[in-house]
Amino acid sequence: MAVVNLKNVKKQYENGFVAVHDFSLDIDDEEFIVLVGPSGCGKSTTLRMIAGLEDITSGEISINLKVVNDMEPKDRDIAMVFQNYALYPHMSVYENIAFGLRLRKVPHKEIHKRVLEAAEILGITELLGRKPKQLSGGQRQRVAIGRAIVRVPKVFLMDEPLSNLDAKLRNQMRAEIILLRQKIRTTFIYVTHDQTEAMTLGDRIVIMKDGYIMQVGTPQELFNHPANLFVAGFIGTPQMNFFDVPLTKEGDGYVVTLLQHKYHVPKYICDELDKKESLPERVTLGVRPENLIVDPSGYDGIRATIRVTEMMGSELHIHAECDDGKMVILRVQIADLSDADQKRMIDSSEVMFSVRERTMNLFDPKDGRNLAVPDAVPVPEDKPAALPDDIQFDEKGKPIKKKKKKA
Amino acid sequence: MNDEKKFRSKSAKERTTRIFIYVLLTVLSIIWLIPFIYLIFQAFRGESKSMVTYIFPKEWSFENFRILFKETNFLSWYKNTLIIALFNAVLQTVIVLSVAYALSRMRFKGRKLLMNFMLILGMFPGFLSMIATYFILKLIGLTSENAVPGLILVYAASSGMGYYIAKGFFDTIPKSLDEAARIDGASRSRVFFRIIMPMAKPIIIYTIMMAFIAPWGDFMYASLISFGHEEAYNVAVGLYRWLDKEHINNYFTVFCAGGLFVSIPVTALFMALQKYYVEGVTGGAVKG
Repeated sequence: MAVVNLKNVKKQYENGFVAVHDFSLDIDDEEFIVLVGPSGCGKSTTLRMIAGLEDITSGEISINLKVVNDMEPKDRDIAMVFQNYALYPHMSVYENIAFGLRLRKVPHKEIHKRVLEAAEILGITELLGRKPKQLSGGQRQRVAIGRAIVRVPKVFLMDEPLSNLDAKLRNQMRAEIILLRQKIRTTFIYVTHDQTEAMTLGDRIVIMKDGYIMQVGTPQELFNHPANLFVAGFIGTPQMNFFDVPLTKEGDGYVVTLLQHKYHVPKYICDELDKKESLPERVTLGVRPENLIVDPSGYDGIRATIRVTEMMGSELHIHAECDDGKMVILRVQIADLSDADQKRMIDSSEVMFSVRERTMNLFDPKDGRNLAVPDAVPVPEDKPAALPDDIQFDEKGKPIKKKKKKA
Repeated sequence: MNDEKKFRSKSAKERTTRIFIYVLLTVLSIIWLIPFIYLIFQAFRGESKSMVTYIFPKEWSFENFRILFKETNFLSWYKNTLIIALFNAVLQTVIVLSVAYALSRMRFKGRKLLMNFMLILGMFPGFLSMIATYFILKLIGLTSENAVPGLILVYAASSGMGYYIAKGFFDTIPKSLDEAARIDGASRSRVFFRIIMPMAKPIIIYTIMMAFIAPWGDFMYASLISFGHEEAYNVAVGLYRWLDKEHINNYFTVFCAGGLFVSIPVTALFMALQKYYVEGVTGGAVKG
């Protein structure tokens, strides 16, 4: 039950590495925010800074409008669930859950009542007498959640809580977290690298890369209108298809030409394009695999040779090569088709497809920004491995050491 | 049954190797045990007090023990050693564990430098600083008759340098446990005492044992600092005196009886605490 505000928060380590750059975000009361991104993007560091486990280099973090920069973790009234559970091994499940309350000098009767309530919510009442080592992974994670909810914290922090569980258990626990969230209305900040978790759990998602925020938005916004090429490629499986295409003005609107086929740019994108002073001649067209429409008759559209098909049950993923050598991925719903039609599609060697115009996204190829999203953040350049320019290698591939010049 | 079969199915070469290893180990263990057995038998020898070349006594007696307790200062040396060892066991354990935990968990400027400095300093033999230590202790009046508190001070003061093993152990305890406890509302010291200490039993036991044994058998510092004051000796210094030319013929068997008593507390300590050595307590803390 708290608002959390981060204002220009920066984290720089002693060796000079900047883990988080200028991070600003306002989290509403009772909101479920998910921080997502690849390894090393700074999402866990951000969470740990909110928890008070990492110092911040500059900026301001406030919980319920109170600046907590220099406040100890215990005084911030937060609870955190760790990826590796972090249960106290020498204490029983009951003691693990009660530990935080005991430290806060809650009366014994009250502790007992609240531990039982938390255990009831999570279905671990019969495990209260056990030690952590006697529990399975899923049970341990429930205890860790129990330890967090029993204190009724202002903010609930979760650091990749499901990534140590197997796939089946992960799905089950994900559903339980959604249910839990309905039962305890509080502010959640959840870190994950799994986009499915991010999409299913978050009210809003924050996508990060190399310590920068790439986009903040609802799952639908991120999926339909990714702010840049990184977000477009990160969200959605299989990944969005990207094509380098010319952009031309035609009448009131614009068209892109993909392999001799013209596609009209949707009106809302045209409006944004018109606002710009200059437009690139070529743009990156982004279309999700499910928005490349396969012509079942096999006559109309762009021709591609099928290289690999992946049968996923109700849908088929087709990896095909266009005539110009460009690889595309198509996602076809085949549940409605008869077995014979399904087989024909799986076995065919060619596919004809067209683009669902209203779903297209156009990106500036130079900085990767979505041309239709105002204030989109450019994609930070990938840093190459730090090698001196003048390094030379011998014929065996070993670096040649330079002789030091005498002063 | 199965084992027998397995053994029989071993090739002749493997069997020969195994026999050779067992014979070698048996011989080594006998050689290793001879001094102890010799010591025990000599302690009960009644026929003469001087050194002899045979192991089994011709006459069994408790006379040596009577002399040890009634006619010598042994009990006072024993008491001195016990006081020093017990105090050091407590002080050194507290200091070593605190230093190790701080170096394992906290990140502060000069941490690496400090660790390297202590490592390098530890490479110099302790006796290099003996004279300086002696004069410092003399200055504050902790030598000769006050050797017991002096020795406690010397042992405890340098104990923080032996942090490596404990730090290595603390490094294996996940940091997230500390962090979870801090978020739960614990201060740094509470995390140390309530979370880390209960999990660190093996290393606490190890540190206590080492902190007890080192002063228990120390000769060099004890002989220097208690110099010339027999009532301030520890057992090592006291007993060693009986091995010099003028005493050995009258005290050798008494020396053996004393040696037997010296080994009792250390043996008892090991036997009482050895089960904690192997017992791991971190199971179930994190994913496993």
